[in-house]
Amino acid sequence: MVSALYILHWPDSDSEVLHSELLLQRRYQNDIPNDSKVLSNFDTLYKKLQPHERTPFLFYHGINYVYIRGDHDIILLVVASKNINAMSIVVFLKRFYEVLFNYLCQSTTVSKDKEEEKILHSKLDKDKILDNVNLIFELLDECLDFGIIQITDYNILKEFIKVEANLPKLSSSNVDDSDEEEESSHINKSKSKSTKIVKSPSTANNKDIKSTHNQAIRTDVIEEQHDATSHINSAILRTYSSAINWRPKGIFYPKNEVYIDIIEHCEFMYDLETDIIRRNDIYGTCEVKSYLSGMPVCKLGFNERNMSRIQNDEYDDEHEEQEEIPENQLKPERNEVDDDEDEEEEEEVTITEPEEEQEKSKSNVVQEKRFHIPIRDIQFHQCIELATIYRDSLVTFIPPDDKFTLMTYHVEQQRQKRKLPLIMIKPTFRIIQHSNKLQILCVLNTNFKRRLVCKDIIVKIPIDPHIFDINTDFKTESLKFKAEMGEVSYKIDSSELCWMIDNIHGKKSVRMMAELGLIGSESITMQLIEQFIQNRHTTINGEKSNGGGGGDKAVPENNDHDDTIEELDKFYGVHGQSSTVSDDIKRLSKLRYDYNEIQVNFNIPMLSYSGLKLTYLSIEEDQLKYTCFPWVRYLTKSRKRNLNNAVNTIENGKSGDINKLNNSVNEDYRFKLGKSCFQLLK
Amino acid sequence: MSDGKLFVKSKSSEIKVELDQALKKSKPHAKVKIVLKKLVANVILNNTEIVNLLPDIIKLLKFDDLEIRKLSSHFIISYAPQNPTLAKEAVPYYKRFLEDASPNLRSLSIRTLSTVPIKEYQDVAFGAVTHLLDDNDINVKKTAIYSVSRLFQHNPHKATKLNLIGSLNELLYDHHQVIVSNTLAALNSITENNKELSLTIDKAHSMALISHLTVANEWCQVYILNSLMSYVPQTSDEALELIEACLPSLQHENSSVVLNAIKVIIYFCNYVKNPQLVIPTLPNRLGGSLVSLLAKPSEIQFLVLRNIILLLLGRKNLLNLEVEMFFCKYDDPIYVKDTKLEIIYLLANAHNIHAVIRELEEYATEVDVSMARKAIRAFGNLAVKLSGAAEQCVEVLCDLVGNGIPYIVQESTTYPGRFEFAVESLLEQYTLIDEPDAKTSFIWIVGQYCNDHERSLKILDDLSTNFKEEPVEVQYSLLTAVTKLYLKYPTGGEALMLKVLKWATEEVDNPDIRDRAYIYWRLLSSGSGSNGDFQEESKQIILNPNPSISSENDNIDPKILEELELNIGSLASIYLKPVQHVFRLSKRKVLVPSPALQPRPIQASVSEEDDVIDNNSHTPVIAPRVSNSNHTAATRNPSTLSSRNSIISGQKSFDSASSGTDDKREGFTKRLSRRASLITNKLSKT
Repeated sequence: MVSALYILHWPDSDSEVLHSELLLQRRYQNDIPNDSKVLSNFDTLYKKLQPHERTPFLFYHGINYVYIRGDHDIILLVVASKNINAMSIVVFLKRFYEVLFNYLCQSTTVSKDKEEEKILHSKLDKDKILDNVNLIFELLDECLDFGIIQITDYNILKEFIKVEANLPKLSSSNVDDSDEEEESSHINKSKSKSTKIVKSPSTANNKDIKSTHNQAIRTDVIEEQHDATSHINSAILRTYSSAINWRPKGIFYPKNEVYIDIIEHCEFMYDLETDIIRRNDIYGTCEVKSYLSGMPVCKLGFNERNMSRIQNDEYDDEHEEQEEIPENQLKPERNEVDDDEDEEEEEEVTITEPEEEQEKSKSNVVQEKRFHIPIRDIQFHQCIELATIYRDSLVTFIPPDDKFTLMTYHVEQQRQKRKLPLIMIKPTFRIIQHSNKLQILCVLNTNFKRRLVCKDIIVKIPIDPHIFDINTDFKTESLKFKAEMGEVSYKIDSSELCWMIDNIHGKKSVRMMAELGLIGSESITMQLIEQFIQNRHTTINGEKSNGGGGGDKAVPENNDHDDTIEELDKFYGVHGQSSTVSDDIKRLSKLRYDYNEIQVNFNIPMLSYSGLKLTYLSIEEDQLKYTCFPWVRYLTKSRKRNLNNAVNTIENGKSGDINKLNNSVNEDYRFKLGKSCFQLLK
Repeated sequence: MSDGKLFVKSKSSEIKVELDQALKKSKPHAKVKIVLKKLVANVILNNTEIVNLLPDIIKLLKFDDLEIRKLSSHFIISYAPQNPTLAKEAVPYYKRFLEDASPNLRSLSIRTLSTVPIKEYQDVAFGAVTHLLDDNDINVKKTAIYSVSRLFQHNPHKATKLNLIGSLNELLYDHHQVIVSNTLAALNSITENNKELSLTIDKAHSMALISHLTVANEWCQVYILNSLMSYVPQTSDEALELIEACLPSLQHENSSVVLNAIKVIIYFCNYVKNPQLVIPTLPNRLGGSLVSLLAKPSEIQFLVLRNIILLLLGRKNLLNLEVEMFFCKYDDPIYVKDTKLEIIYLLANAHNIHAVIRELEEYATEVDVSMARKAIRAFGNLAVKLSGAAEQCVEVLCDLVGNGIPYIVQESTTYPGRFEFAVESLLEQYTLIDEPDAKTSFIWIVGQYCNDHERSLKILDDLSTNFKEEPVEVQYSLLTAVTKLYLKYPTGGEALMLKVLKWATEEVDNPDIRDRAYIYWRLLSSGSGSNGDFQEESKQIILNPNPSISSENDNIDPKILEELELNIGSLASIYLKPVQHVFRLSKRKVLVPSPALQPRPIQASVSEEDDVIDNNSHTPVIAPRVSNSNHTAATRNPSTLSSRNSIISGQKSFDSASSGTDDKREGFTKRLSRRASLITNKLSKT
């Protein structure tokens, strides 16, 4: 039981702005003091706490504050005086934020084809909320009645509450309902474009765009126009209360399609010094986009028979499994063994008689018994009948309309350390002191099936500005490179070498060599390198200038006098000064200390790293009996790092600068540099 | 157009003019809406002056437009209490809405009527609510259910008289799961606020509820799961049945469902003897689902981690967790990292200590200084907890100290153990120390282990040069250290001791310091001469051997643990404090006795080698259910990492490396034999 909910806007809560600004409040119980008192208490409390004490749950004078932060300094705060179910509340806040985001941002992100609008509407910020106070109240009434959580599913809510989001428009187009319709078909269009890449082109091209549009919504919308007083779609009320509350009745598509994407994000960490895989986790999601009519029942079977259980779960066949596990864990993945096995690029599962299919899948299961993928932490969407997974290892569900996440899972491969990484990087830094050169040699090996193609590889090799002072003078061409594949560039702001390869097949090995000019390479010693590699830089702070040549010193000195003249000189390149800001950038880049990891970005279509495969799929609709077109695709990619959190952890005063630097996208596929990667040549 | 423009404080007269203008139009709806939005904005901005507009707004209810009516109601709810007489005029409108054909209007009406705390409103609401509970429309029904709980809040007496509870109870057997679960939620909120009422359900009904579980929406599942806690199983089989029924929920996508399912399972485990033996997969499943929640946003992670701590303290045998899962990620927020460190500490045992130490070593060299410090503290705690690993811990610490990073040195010194060899490397680095805490510890070390007296003398001399400016705790330790030095090396230490004592007694303002200095002074001046031995008595008093430290105080009182376990996922589980301490008015949750209720398993200490017997607690060995009389100690937050609060017990600990195995249910005999060995130990000493 929540006492009140607030939406606050609090920019720079760490320093400048003393108080948060109330954007919206809803009160449910009268057991707390008035709003301004509550909020000022929250503000002072928050300010008072050390950063590490700022947990999402605060307690002060008998009142509990639970809050989450959104983007753009938006804070959702819940206040309660009772011992509420904190978990529900936090989940609710997260969900509510998503709902708001969907309502206020999503609808226009893909609307029209105006680029500017996309930029404008992609974020949920203060103005958006103020513009839509009415809608948000409406949503809150639905989501949280009497302080008790009711419903947070956007797919249902959007049918339920049809208040238009009030968004600034650049174009003069007036938004009416038919417009909305077009929008959604545009969504479909863009979607079909994006999936086209992996699809066999013949089917994708002649696909009717309108076909993926839900015809039922249109009829409903028309009804609504007649009855202007009611903006609630009454058909949905029934949905909400029926057993299957995530899918409204009466959906109809002329062409029935379902897209199943199995996307696996790899989190990987390799220690180049010790040649040990430190972390090799897979975060998999199964995303489904369903455009199906009526109330279809989908059944999915995976090659992983044990997915329903967390490790050796059901004890009736435990003995059997125990034999399996040790054997399997030492076995390399199948993908690597049967390299030559010709596999279809696009797995199109045809629909046959279910009985037959089921038998087939059973035989599949028997046949594939030997792999055991250590899948854990599977979480299913609420539409899945959890009970049947246990019974016959089939995932049975009635899908919600449109896009949703069917399940997420986590594969930990800590015990499979001898398994080769998908992509292996072997760098060597060679410092040639007599000619002031830094040579970087890098070998990239791909360890997946030869047929597969890895796309958009970006290898980011950091060049620690604390060790190396790169000569960025433009008169002499600084970077020279030779690569068997791809392009190499040096990014001065993040001080890293980017090696970009568009396409590479499996089981290949490519090399790259790059050369950079250095300033003052004499001072580099192995000891210095070692210290930085191991992050023990604190002692060296004093001797920073030692490694980092003249640029560092010159700037503060100049500031003393003739500032403007200097600046002008610099700008026009007078007195031989270069007009670059490279010195400043270099200085900035020294604020960071995370230069000891090589990051790799890639995505490999048609591969699921864990080996999880969809072996069986059937879709049945009792009344309509249509044929359905299922599309299955696999993708393995490097995992993006969550930057918001990383920024939060930085405490020092320079956080502003560091934030700027951190804007570069970080990957979670990493190789930790070791001492052995460096060679010092006199 | 942008509504943001409306978001300014306005005067009531201005708004009134606008409203009048709007009403003059032939189709006023759109204009009226804009004015109302402005009003709502002013409600948010807490503009009390607009209460004057109340009569005008009430008139707007006559428009046949749901949006206008909703906005007006919002205004009325906010301002009616300030002017009850004026607000009364709205009652007839709402009365009429109650009979309206549109379900939306009916629910709006009952919601408003039950919310406004004015007698006229409430009377109408009381009259209508029972009728609406039987409404055909689900939505109206649902609103009516919550209206009942609102009415209960305003006027519990009248609500009981009208037997509203009875009508709600009937709804529990409704065929719609939405109604059932919402009724449960409403009843739950009523019973929580009401001392006399409590929710009880019977076996048949609990099974019926479980059948709803599979079809309900996520939040309804939460309410149903929670209500299962009101059922007291009479036999173990019943409890087992219910546990199994809850197991599928562990894999739900909604973290709240998962955590509540865990709570229910833990609750029913109280009624099963050795649940982990009956359902062997239970620990794996519970552990697995908890770990899976760690992939969620950091706020959820934090909550889960706190609950994991709670379960580790009380129900270690029901959880199967691997310490690797709790290794910090670099992008975790600080509060998550902190909690993870605590869990790493709790999970560390003889088997995984190597991995743990390696991981902690990495944290210790991290960029983030505060994290590094915490990691080093964890080392100290680990060394205390697992005596087998202590040597390794200290070795790593020495390694780190050798690197000469100031904060590492400072933190490390705060853990003076029994490892004298560490002292050497410390002495080398003493110039780096500048924090009072670290200084104190360092001075203590020098005083305690001043074997190389030339050097100790020099160091203490150095450190005492600005004695007067030092913080109090540094002064204390300096005082003691120089006295110790003097006792050991009278010739060398005398001058320094006299100097410090003189400062302390004459120039320091703090009376405590002065007192302590005087005590030492008196002690030393009266000490010599009694029986020839130099300062025999003072030596006995001042130069005491190192006390051993134990991590005994990781444990929370089992009673409190029991209550917290019934509150998994709630706010109390985050604070890890007894519910009544934080929420004074809340009802106490206890395990209801039934034939199947099992005694709480004897809680093996979190530190698996609980070999230091606490000599002030009377009978914890034999009867673990007796609560600790010392409340403050028992309820302390177990975050031992953040504070150095190792109990210094007078008892000399003895080494029992053999008990490093994780024998969780330690037998009574073993404890007895331990006590026996303690006695023999004592005998051999005397």
